[in-house]
Amino acid sequence: MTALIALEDLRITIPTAQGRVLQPVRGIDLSVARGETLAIVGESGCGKSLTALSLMGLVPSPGRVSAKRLTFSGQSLIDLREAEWRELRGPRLAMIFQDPMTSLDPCYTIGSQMTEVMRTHLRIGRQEARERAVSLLARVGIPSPAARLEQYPHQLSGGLRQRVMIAMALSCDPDLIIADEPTTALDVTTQAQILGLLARLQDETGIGIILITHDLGVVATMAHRVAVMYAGQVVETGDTAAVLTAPAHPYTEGLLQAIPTPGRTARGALLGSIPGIVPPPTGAVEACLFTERCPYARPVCAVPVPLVPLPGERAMRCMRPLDERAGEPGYAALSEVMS
Amino acid sequence: MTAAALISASPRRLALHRLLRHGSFWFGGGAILLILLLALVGPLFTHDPVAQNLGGRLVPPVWDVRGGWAHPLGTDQLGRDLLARLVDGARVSLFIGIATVLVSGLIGTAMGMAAGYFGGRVDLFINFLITIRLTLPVVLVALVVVAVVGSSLTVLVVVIGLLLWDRFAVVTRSATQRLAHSDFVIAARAIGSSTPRILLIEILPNIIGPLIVVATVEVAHAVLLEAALSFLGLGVKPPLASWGLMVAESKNQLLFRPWLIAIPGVALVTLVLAINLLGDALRDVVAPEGRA
Amino acid sequence: MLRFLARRLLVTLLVIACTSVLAFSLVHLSGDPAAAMAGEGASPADVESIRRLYGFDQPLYTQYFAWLGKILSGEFGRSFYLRQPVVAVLAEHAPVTAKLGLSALVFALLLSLPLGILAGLYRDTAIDRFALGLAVAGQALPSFLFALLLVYIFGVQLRWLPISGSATWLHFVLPAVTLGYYAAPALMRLTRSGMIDVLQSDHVRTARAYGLPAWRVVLLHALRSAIIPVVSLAAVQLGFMLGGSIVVETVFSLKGLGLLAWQSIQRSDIEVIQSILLLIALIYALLTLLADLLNALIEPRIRIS
Repeated sequence: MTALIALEDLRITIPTAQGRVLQPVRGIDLSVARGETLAIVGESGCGKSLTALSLMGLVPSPGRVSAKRLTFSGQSLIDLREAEWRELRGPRLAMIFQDPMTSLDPCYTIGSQMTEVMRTHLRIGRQEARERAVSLLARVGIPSPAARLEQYPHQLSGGLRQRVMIAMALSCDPDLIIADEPTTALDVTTQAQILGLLARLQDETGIGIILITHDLGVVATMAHRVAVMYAGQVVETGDTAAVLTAPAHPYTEGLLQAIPTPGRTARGALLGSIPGIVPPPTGAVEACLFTERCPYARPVCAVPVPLVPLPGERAMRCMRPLDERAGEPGYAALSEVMS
Repeated sequence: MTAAALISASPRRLALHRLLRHGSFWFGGGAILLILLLALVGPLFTHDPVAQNLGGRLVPPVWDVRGGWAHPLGTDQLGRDLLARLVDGARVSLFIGIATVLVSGLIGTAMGMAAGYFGGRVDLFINFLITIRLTLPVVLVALVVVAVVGSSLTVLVVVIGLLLWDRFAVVTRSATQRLAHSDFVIAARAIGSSTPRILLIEILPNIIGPLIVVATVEVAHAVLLEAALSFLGLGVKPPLASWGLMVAESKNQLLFRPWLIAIPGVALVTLVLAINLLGDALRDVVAPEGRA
Repeated sequence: MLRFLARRLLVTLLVIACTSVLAFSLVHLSGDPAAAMAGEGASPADVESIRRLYGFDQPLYTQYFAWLGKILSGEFGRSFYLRQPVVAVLAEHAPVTAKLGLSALVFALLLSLPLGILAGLYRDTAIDRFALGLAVAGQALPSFLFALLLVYIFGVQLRWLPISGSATWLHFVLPAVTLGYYAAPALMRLTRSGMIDVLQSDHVRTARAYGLPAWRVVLLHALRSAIIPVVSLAAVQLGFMLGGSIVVETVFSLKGLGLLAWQSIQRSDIEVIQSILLLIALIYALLTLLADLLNALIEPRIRIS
């Protein structure tokens, strides 16, 4: 079965006015299948949002996108013309953004924004578009949907606005929805509702979802598979349960041991952390980008590291095999040093 | 500057460096300098601008076949040497431009700083004054006053100065507002500095940047306003020369002797263009957020 | 929406009231109006009789309220020179200025909006530099010079357009261009910077993300947000144009309010001058109000705040 998205070695470079070249994304490999939710997780600044934008052809200039392979249902998306992108955006691919307040146009009603999208891509008239909008709003759980059509974005609460964005995303029956931190701007209760809505819609329609987040809790709840990003690269991918219970890459391991776990974290024990800071997005990649912060680092890590496949449809970007590192103290040694 | 020097240079030196690399700065500044030189030194080398010579009227400039070097730019309808009048007009334009900006700058800055620093009712009142000033048609008001009071240079400077202070007020108001709550102002108050001292010594030096930019814009504004008033006959009066007046006097010669209009016209455009370019360069360096 | 309107109306009325005081005092405080009206060479007796006839010997505030009372009851006084009611004189000249101002604004917008949009869309390219260069050049050219230049090229050399009078709409072309070009640079720059800002905004990104055609993204979503300050500026510029039409009307011999004002000033026709000042201030204040209303229509959030 063709994957919805197959991405191999995505790189994004941004030349700056001063003449330097930034590389916020230096090697992303991922794939999403129908009916599957892939979470892309990583800290702020690791390049998650840019990756998402590149899947829609929305990386702002002067940014430049290159990849060994980028296909959507078999169709290559590399060097697509703007007109061709416009045909895909909406009917095949749709994106939900982090802040629905600024992402919706404040000058137009909800109804006119939704109907505008539908009438651009589907061959339907105003009345039919409005009816469709009402049923979409109802489907995403918005009360009194017909009345909402005449309201402006600023008249709705945050949770409702995000539901409107989801409704808009669904309006042309896309195959894939990319959600860029859809719940970050919402409170915890609303967050749970929105995630539940997305999961339900996926069950109903079989769409694929790429979920960008920095919250491992969201990953655990929603995602079938996860890709962990660090400094512009994917460092680990795999089935969510497997990755979260038995991480392969030292970074993932570091993230997980920093989360307090009932039953595992001892009372009064220091929470783990990863020492050091993320490397800047400049300069050539000459070694593993995580080396300086990694408790398992060895001289062998001083080369650019490829993504190594692991059994069980997993992969990691580490020079040292798992079984080789198994016996070492790793982060435990670090926390001992600190306590 | 070498790379090493760039890294260690103070902000002021960096700003100066950027300014000197700006094309508009050289072009604008150069032209202004030239006109300034002409205005200051020109009278030493040219004919008397007031001397009429009805025998030698309407002599064409030197590039016309009938012209000559005795009067390089020709003479006007009263036989007065055009170059001399041009120089005289330069003196008038520059004087009015600078003097009015001093007047309007003083008024506008004082009002703006008061509004920005004290806020509340003072701010409301000054905003109201600004709105009223904006509602009055500038050219009409200037015409009325000059018509009734008379049109000496002093009157012109005062009238134009009293009409062009609004930009100063608006810009200094917002700049002062930003600074009024900053730490160093609070510190100055805490050690007991008086309000005038705070305004003059703490705040004013920090808003000089945008102030200079507005000043250059308003100089151009004043020069254009004076030219328009003189063109309408209610500005600078003969025998004084003003470029606007020269254009007005030669309006009827448009058909056959266009140089009488073109020469002062080009001078005017060059001066205003130079001022605007200089202002653009200054703004890019001093207050780039205001760049359009 | 109503409260917004009411508040703006109140401020406007206050501004007009103060402007009327100024318009009145301008004439009376900057010299002796009786002497000015009598002209040079008039005997003191003549000046005195004029003073008594027009009530100039009364205290200033009495004169002001008398004048205000007449204004509010629609009686604008009589033109000393033309021996007609001021209202009639104004009514005769106002339409020309109105036509001139509006066509000048239309020209300015036709020039500045497309250039500003293109300059913002294609920033730092040839068209951007062209637009900015045009703006710089336009702001350096005094209107009377431009007027004479246009007269020379189009009226005299090419003979395409009429250069005086106001009979047909063609007569308004050159004057409209002359009056409007000075407003164009500011409008163009504002449009340009507004476009640059809004093209990076989230909601434009959303419009692009849903594959909307380029013209809809630029015109309906980007421009609508960016146009708000431009609307305010356009209204302000129209006010300036109406108040600053003197030069254009004199050069092109258009019998408008500007020409009337200039002639009245030269003839010391006090009542006419006062009324024109007040009228123009009134129009300007109303235009600002109109601009605020238009903005509230464009941006729904303004209505609430």
